[in-house]
Amino acid sequence: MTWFSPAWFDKMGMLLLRSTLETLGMVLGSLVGGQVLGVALGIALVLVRPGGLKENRTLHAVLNSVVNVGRSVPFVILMVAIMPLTRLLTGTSIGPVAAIVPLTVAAIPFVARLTETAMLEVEVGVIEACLSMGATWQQIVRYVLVPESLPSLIAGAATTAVNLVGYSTMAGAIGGGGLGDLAVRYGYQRWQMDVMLAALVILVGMVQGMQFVGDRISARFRRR
Amino acid sequence: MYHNGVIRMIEVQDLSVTYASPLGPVEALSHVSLTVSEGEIVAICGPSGAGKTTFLRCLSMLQEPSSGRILVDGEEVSAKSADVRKARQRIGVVFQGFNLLRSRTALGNVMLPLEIRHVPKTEAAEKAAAYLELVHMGHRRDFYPHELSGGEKQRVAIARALVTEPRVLILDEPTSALDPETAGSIVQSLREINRSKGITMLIVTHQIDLLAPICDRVIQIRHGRLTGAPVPVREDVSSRPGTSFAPGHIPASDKFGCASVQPGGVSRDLV
Ligand SMILES: Nc1ncnc2c1ncn2[C@@H]1O[C@H](COP(=O)(O)OP(=O)(O)OP(=O)(O)O)[C@@H](O)[C@H]1O
Ligand SMILES: [Mg+2]
Repeated sequence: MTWFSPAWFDKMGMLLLRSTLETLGMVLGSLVGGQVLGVALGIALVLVRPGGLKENRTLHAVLNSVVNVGRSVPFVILMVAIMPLTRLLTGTSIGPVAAIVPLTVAAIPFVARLTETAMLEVEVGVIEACLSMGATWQQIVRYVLVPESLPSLIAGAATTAVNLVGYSTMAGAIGGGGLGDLAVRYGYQRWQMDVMLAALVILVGMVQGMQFVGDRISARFRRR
Repeated sequence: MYHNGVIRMIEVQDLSVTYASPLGPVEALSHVSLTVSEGEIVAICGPSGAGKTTFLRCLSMLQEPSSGRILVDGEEVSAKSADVRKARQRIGVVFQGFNLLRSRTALGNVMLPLEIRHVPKTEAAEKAAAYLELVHMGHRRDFYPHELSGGEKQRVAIARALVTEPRVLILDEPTSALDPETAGSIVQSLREINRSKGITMLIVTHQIDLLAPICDRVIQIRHGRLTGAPVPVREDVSSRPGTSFAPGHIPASDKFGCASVQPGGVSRDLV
């Protein structure tokens, strides 16, 4: 059968589509989870850091080490290590839904660090202006830290999404499903290069698309 | 708090500020004392690096004094126990660098202090729009700071400080980026607000000629110290017996660290 001919698509189309949707589901699910929890952790890091609005050196040291440790654990090991948690949350440790758990856990410290960097770029003078109006720290977060760093946060989310595409293929390789799983099963185990190539093309397109969308949204909010 | 029937709005007692820097301690303010009555407009001048901004930062509670006391409206704000947020809400600040939020339009920036006070959105928008009109910025209400000129940003910053109608207004070189005509009109607005609302104002300036017609006193800071006797300049003040002054009493402008002071505001050196 000729590669990528109509007949080929009839046979392989559903398989590719299903794997693509699985990958998208894993990436978007963990992106949402990772962003929500990671941004919250990033804000906490900024607030409790020495000189921060809610300075707490002990808490900062703890959170900082959590982020560093989290970021230094290789994803494959993380996946295996948190299997009990995955099983607890999803009832299983294999498949695309289960893969969202380790992907989210991997994204949190990464997003937290990106968030911290973005928020430290916010001009001190602007924060002081808001303080001089009598703002609470919650109001500083809501009116200054988040909106002023939004373009960078969105750019960070795009970077995170691209990383998650890569991680999701690793999750796939040990039973998570998706394009990574497909590429390994057909390409590596059965030597079907056509399927592997198709999976690769889709992955490249996915990464390009995510970066493009992220750049566009970020640019819309960047005012300088 | 009361003195000869006048309310002492600001009392600074023996204020000193020493910054730690890599090259050793920098004494930015040393033993500064000052009393400002309610409704007074006080101009502060002095050379660059003299400690003017540091002084204002202490009053707006952004800088902790090394020693000394500050009372605003009879309440000590330099004390650890002070309700800093409540105290800050009584003071409006115009910063030397404007400090507008990039993420908000001119209108959004002026609405911010009202939003912080939980004023309903529509009411806040109306009020903010009115104050933008006051500084002749009504036509730029939907512009973002990066789309505004330096002088336009400065006017938005002034509107933002005024919109809450604070008891005390602190302005750090509020007309530095404005042409003489716009600056004059802003200064007139400040005076009108001072008259109608009784707002006490402390204004740092290098263009004293502009402020002279509206301020009650000019004080100067040099090397972190308050120097020079208080000079009354507003006509209604300077015409009082015993406080009148003639050009002969005016210290040379270089001694003042700012341009010459003239009652009536006719500029001599500037423009
Ligand atoms: N954070 C800081 N650390 C160390 N030194 C500082 C700091 N901030 C200000 N200074 C020093 O304190 C002195 C007073 O600074 P300040 O900003 O109050 O001057 P200024 O009178 O407002 O000057 P200008 O007219 O240029 O605005 C300066 O010598 C400055 O170098
Ligand atoms: Mg200054």
